[in-house]
Amino acid sequence: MTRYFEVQQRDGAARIGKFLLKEDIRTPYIIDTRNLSMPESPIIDGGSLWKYSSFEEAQEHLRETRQKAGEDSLIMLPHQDFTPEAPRNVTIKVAEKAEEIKDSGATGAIYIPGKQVKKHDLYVLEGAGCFENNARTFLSILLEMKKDIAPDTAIYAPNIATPENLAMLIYLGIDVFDNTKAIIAGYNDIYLTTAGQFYLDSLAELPCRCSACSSTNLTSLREMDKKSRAAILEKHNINAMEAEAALVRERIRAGTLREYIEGQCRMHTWLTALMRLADDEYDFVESQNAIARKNTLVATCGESQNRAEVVRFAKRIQERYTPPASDVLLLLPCSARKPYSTSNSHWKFINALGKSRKFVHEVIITSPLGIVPRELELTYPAAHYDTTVTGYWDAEEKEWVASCLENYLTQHKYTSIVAHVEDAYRVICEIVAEKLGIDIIYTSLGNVSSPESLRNLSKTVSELCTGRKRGHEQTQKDLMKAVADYQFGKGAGEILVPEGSTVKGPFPKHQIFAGKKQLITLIPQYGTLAITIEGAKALLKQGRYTVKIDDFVPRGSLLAPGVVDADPLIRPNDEVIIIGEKAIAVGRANMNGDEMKRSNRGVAVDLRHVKKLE
Amino acid sequence: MSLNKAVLDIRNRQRVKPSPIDVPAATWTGKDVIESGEIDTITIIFKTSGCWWGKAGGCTMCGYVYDSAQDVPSDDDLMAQLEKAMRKASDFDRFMVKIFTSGSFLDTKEIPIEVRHRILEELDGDERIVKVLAETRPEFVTEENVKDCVSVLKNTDFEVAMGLETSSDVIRKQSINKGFTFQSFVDAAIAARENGATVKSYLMLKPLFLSEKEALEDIVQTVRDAAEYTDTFSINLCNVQRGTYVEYLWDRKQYRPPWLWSIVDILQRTKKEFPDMIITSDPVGAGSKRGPHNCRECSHAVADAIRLFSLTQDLSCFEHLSCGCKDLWEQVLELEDHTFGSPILD
Repeated sequence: MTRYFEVQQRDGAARIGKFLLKEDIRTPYIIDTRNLSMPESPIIDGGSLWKYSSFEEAQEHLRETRQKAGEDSLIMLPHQDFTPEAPRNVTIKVAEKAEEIKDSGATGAIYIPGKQVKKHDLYVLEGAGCFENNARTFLSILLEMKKDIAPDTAIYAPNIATPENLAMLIYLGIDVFDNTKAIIAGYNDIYLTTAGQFYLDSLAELPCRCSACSSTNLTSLREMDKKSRAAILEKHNINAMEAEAALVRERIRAGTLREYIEGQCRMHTWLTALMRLADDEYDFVESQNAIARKNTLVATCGESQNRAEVVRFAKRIQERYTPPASDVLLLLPCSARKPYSTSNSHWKFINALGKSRKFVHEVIITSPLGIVPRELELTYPAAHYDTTVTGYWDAEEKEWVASCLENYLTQHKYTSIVAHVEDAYRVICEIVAEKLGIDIIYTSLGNVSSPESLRNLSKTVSELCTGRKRGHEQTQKDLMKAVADYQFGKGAGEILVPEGSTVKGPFPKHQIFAGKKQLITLIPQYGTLAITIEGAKALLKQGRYTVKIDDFVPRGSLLAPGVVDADPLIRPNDEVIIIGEKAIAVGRANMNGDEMKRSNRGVAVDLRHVKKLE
Repeated sequence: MSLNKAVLDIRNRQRVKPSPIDVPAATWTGKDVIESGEIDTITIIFKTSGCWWGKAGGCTMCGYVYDSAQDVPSDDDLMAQLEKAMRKASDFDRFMVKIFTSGSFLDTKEIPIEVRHRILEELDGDERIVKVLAETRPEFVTEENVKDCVSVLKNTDFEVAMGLETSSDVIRKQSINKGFTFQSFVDAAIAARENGATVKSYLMLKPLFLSEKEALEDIVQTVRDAAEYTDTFSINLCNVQRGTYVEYLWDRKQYRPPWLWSIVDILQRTKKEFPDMIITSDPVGAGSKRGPHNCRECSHAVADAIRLFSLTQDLSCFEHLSCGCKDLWEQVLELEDHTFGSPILD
């Protein structure tokens, strides 16, 4: 059980946490390596077993250290380190033997792949320093480690961090680092920056204004004796790393670390490789990503379309979304302003459609999201993304968006399809039409918002509109149903927007009532639903997005140790139903379902409504 | 996979060029120091059928196994090797012969007992030779074997050399894979000394997986532990030999050969503690990436000082050594204790 570490804030796999030791330590944290052997430090290295002639000796040394340090210091238990490619079963055997050494307070241990983990507050990624420039191996061991150890355990990657790679390592979910590389670089006359390293002789000026750099200048630095120079370089290198750590913590608090690392990773090939390979580990990344956020998702590079949020949105449209009953599909281009329907261009489209709008179903084509059915235009990240617009779409962008459209048109049939699009949007429609052997009617005449184009759209659509049509309230219900299905899975819409229910509130603050009982409300800033206790009771039979608790009545927030079971589908910020013998409640998840189950510390759910059960 | 299996896998992958079996694997001349002072030496590496331990896997740093013969050399082949080697000593007036086999001289599977007798008789017959040193694993250093050698070498001193590497059984087993214990070394050393031979112990800096400081302190401790059983110490600095497990990890940035500053520190400390003990080190490959090294500027000067000390046993050889990289080495000593399984590379 982790007793001394708690995760407080998350941004994807990255997190801000706290060690509750003799002094509180906030993570991501950079250990001063030199302090690891000092018993007064809050985090102590219990030492290497290579140097003891017997375990008794190591045990005795540990006992003395613990006595000096107190219970509230974290001691990494004595370890016999091997490099990563040492034979696995030798390292496992040796590590199992080392477990004979016992300790009572806060402890850390070496993670050995394939060996059963215990409940330490911190695990060390052994030999992390060997993996620099080896993205594939590093990531696979880190993911194996993350799978094995409890989520509320801190991960320490020794002898690897630099100002340049720190953001990426934190992004991948590492909490603790040290300054070994920064010190050694200092003694090698190497000047570290977030934009890579420089040999001191190659610099024409010092590209930093930290206290160490302000205390000197390049000329005097070069003329100094080696020891004094090394001391200043070391100080700068550590400052650079601390500054980067602080910046990354801010990014985590703001929820924008992904945007930062998409740029920062270009400083080194292996960091870019880490990002791409991690994106490939969709299940791992997706499970940590919040279902919705207030932030803008800024898509500035090719990899942005591989973001878990983007891929998840596309997958959910494929797996959870059911279009409303319409015979005519209208494909529209996206707009800079979100939600689309509040943009100038979409206003024009909607005006042009006029009364025919009742007959059509609108789907917006966009990069990097692929396609966005009108009903989901409010839902994160559809109303929350911003992308670089140049008019040029690269091949992968086109391919991705086309594949989303193709999937959609394969699943859902219409009697006619109209596309009011130009340029790349049209190219995409043509690719898909040809591939599926379907006809698409193009209505734009050079410029989608020109009066001629709009007239043509109006005319074309009105001629097609003979089939099923939807009234105003039905359109509102279709929106609410679509969001419910998107959020809670197929079928949730039927439960939360039942036959005979009514819609209240203006767009987009819709509420659904069954008789006098409110079931759900749409929260405009996320485009997701909040459920009432009544809504929760109705949804309970579906058995998803539930958190089971013991027989108590929770108040305010539900802590992780109170969770008996949780749906593994739950993501941070998901709306969840809490159910126990004594109470039913609804609230917003603070961590994913798996983490709720496996954690011993931290807030699992922020509760909104609680109702005692008789 | 055990450590031995890992070593063996590499051995099996390694290709060895065939070579004639009536020529020694190597022969060279040099200088060494014995009780009476400096002396010329000739070193002979016999090409035998090979080290039994090495054939079964063997030590993680040892590439000498590839020096052994593809076919079993006949008795005459072995004598021919001796004859060819000894030509190099023709100019010497007084010298010492150092015999290695890339395995064990006293293993009769490598050197049949009759050949052993013929070699030793021939060396004993050469009046210029004052001492014969033969390297062997301790399991062959029995009372019987030592007596046998000493009885042939009537007028010549005999020294048994053993690669103890470290007095730590944990390191010898889990890092070096040497296949014997400190106790077996002690038993062998006692058997040698009680039967008229002297003992030379080879130690190794630095074994895989250990930090620079752990390795350094291990050698200092080993000198203390083994001093009472040995007459001479020679500290080998690990160089990355081809076809070894050490090379495999070194290639993957998981090993760094020792710093020369470390051996300087060891020699200074152990010589002060044991002033009468001969403690030497031959920094083979010093200054190269695969060998023990400091920075580019000072490696060769420091290696020369180590060689000079080894001959003179005079600590003043180290007095004037200094270089900016010594500060870096001091940092490595402090920090590498906390890298948890990754070496600090240059």
